[in-house]
Amino acid sequence: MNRKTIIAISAVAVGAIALFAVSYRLSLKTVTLNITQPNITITINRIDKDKSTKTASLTATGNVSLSKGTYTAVPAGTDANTTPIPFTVGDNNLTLEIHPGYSNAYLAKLLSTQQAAITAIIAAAYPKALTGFKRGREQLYKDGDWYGTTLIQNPPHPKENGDVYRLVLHRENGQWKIATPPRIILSAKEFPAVPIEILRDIDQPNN
Amino acid sequence: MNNPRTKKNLLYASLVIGVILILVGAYLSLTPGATQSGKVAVKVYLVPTDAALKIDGKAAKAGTAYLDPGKHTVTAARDGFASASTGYDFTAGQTDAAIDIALIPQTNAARVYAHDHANLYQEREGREAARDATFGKNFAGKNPIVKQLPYKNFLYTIGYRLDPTDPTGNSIVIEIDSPTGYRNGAVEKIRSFGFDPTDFKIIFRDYQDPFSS
Repeated sequence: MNRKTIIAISAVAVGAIALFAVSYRLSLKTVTLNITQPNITITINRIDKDKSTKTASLTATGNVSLSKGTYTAVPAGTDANTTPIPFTVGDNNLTLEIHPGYSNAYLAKLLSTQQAAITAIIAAAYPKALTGFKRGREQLYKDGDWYGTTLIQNPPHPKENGDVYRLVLHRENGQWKIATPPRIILSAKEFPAVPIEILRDIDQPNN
Repeated sequence: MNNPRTKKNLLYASLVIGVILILVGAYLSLTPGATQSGKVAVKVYLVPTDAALKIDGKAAKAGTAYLDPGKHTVTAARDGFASASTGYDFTAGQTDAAIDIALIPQTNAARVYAHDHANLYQEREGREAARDATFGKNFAGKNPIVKQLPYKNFLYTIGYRLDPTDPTGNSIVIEIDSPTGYRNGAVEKIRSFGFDPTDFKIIFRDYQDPFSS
């Protein structure tokens, strides 16, 4: 093999590698993670058939370059809701709003500090809620600024049943306000201002 | 240019271009979307065929009318027949838009006309039945729960009616008839059909709000 041939083969090989590198770089999409909750870390895992591979990690709003595929953004941090957030990278760049809210344990702790204020608001709006009903399941959602409860109707006679009602409150500027009236079922069509996942949860049959 | 072969080639080229232009013109004239951009192609049927038809006050005739999406008022009149005035609402991209009017005879002469042209009235009934069937299919496609309703047991009944707040007539309100204490059970029955009750407007018959004073 003469020198010219070796140079030619090398040039072709370098060109092919460069072409591959350029096409790979062009195939990557920019994913912007807009992290609006303080003190959390986001780990991005690529999900392939049976395995999950850590791909990137962010502690504040930023961009990552990802190839097409399915991923999860897993939040971590004191008191944070760590439920993985699935997302898919396709042909376009992507922006994700990351605000996982608080963990159920933290929200339960927070609820105990808010119950008196919440009860006062419910009593003022619906006095019969305290006399004709007993409080069932109670839950804070998101950043602790949404509250849902069930109100179990006292039956008119001991051998009869009462209905179970649902009620949602929202805290704005530090003040709790009624977000929905008590209803047997809270419809997403009737209450579009309430996040649908809250309505779906409080509408579940377990009291 | 004076070369006979060049002349022949030019002639062939002109012929080919001419044929292409004719084909493109024919295609455009037969494609409503291309020539009536933004309009809805509305099939217009009229019985009697010589009745005076007006769409938004302008004279029109049976065939295909190209109208702007939105509301239109259609009137039809003929001596001896009851005049008709109907409102239509067409949406952009609608492919089944139709104005279909059959005037009702009122005088003897008009009845004779209707008798002699019974086939036109029958064809109109056929079109109406086909439209009803299509609407029913589309409606069930948009509200698949209606295939499960009405549901009735000895504790409650679950039915539905059109949502009066939806002018398209495509949305429903679930209506539950149940005594106190069994309403949640009726709601959970909807869940057991495979639907999330949160996604529906649900009203309860003979319901009294226990929270009102």
